[in-house]
Amino acid sequence: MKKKRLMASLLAGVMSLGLLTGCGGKGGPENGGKDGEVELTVWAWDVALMQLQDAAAEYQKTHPEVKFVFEEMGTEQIYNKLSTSLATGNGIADVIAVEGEVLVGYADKFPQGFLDVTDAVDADQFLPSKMSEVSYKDKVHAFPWDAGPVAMFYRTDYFEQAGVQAEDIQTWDDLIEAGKKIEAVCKTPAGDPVKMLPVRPNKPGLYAMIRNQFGISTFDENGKPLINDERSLKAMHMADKIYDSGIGLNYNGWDEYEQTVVNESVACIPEAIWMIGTIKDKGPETAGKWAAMDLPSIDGGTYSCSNGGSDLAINGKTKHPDVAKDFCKFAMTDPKLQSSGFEKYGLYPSYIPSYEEEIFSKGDPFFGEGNVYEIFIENGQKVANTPANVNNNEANDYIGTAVSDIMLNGADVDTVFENLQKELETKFN
Amino acid sequence: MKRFNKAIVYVILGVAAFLSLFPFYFMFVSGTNTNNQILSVPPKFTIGTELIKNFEILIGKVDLMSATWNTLFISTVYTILALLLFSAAGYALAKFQFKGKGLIFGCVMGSMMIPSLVMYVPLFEMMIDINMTDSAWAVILPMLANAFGIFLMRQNMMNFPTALLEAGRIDGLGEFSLFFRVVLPNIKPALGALVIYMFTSMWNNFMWPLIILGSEEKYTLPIALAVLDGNPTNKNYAVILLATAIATLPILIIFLVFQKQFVAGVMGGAVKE
Repeated sequence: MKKKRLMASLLAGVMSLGLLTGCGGKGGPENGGKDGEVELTVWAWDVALMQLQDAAAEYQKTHPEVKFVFEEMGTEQIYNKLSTSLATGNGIADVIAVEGEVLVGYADKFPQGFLDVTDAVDADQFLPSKMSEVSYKDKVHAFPWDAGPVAMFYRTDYFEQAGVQAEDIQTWDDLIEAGKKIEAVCKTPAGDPVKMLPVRPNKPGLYAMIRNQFGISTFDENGKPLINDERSLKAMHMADKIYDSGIGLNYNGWDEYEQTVVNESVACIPEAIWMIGTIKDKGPETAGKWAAMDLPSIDGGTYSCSNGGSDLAINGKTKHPDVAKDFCKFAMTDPKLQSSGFEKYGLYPSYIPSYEEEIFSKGDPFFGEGNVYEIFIENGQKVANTPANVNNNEANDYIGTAVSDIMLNGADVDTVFENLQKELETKFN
Repeated sequence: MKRFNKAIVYVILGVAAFLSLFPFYFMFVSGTNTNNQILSVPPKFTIGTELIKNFEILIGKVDLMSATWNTLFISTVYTILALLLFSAAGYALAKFQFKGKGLIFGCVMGSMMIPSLVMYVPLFEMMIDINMTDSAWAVILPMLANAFGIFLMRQNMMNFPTALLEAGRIDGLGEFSLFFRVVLPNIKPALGALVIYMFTSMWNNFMWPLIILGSEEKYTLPIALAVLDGNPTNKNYAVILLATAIATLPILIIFLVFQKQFVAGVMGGAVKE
């Protein structure tokens, strides 16, 4: 008797649970719909998402049968979901925005994860450095999207006060001299002396920037670390010299980096073109006081460098590979879209023909009278075409530790880098 | 001398209280200031006038209403189901003698040693197989197998006087009514502790809902917060902190309501009388 009752209530419980799940589970991101209609799901973050929404609206004018579902996520969230989805091959969106520096990691772990778009990407039309970012093992894994060419933002008012001429800063040594002059004369609105540039002493940042001017990356094309290469050592010595000269303002983390703009505490910021958006947002009172010039050079360095930027990938198992490819190609190579994406969201295109658009010759009054974009366009084409390497991100952590050992603990550059070279060789070979 | 000692204790406690409360204060206050006021040195520590403006930006960026509702729904349903299941399981493991009891309890405890990260991929595949992705139930159901909750309830049930159960049986109560009418009302402190544990753990749950929930209208608050933090090169901390404050409030309320039970429940099973 008792047993029967127990069984009955158990059964009732299971059934009601089934009912509940029945109304809750609507099923996975199923694609397709009624006759000829195609639905594409898109994962992207903030500005990237808004730009793709603009592109979708344009695209639908000629392709009304294509519907879009946009799912907004932060970059980290996309990677978390992407890792699970690629491991199971399920539940992944059709079109995914991915930052350039992490793309190669996915391409290496999941060679079939992203759709091969080699035939849809015209390699000559994109910045060479972006093409090497999306190419891995004879396959183009994504459309190159925005690039992050680097130049030097500087405060014209501080320069004037201290009697420093931008044209006189040709080398990193000149920068140190100018920095000393500025610190002696200029004061921030809060009354502190103005520093020359923000420096993060526990990240590769400044060192990597100077090293990239030599046209090399952490690894060569065979995957051999280049830490104890003469050029790499020269770059680290220079970065250390800049740090030791005291012209830098230490910062740690993105919030403190933004603070240097808010508090007007630095005269220069060597950074990628997307920093324009941050400067305008965080320092509205500094309108007209900024300009941009080329990075100081290092003896023997003929290249420029870039920082950040993203790409647009397609799910390798999408149900609509042709439509997805067609849409991505449109979104990435329509010059009008590229220029409006730059104007509205600060996404600097890597599609070379879009530089002909009017916006790029107009400049931005926030950055004075000259055309602020000019130097970035020039530098974007001077970024070395270094091979994509899966281990770059991990190696950067090691380099960061070495840099902090050198800058903060005063360790010897040559010894630390010699050890690091050995460490990376055993780890990655 | 005694008085002096006490003063020192109070100073230390005061400093500790300040250290733990100040971040909360700063979070609440920052929601009413502009981003640049937060970033300036020193930041603005007083209540500002930007609350409404920040709130407008916030609701323009994420669907706060649906995220709050989703989180509330998931957390509440989960807590209720968890209460029932864990207390029943704990009761059985504490008060009944049956074959394999030690083994079952061992398995339950052993499952605490499996890191949740390694379960995501198989769990995700399972959810795809039974067609349950992108639903609140996909968040609730897997978390119902929670060793810690069962363990907590078992420890509390161990101290429950067996004599009381026998008295109930002699008076003719069935096992179910015995459980619901005698056992549960008498372990309220433990249940209170469980409510706080389970509710907060689900309220703050981030990784699994992120993986399994696809569409934006299903997002929970932690995912919505992550969306706000999505732009790597330009962040509005005022709006992020305002959203964080809003997401924190319900937890704060739950804790204040149940805190007496919480302390009593955690102590339960610690002392043998």
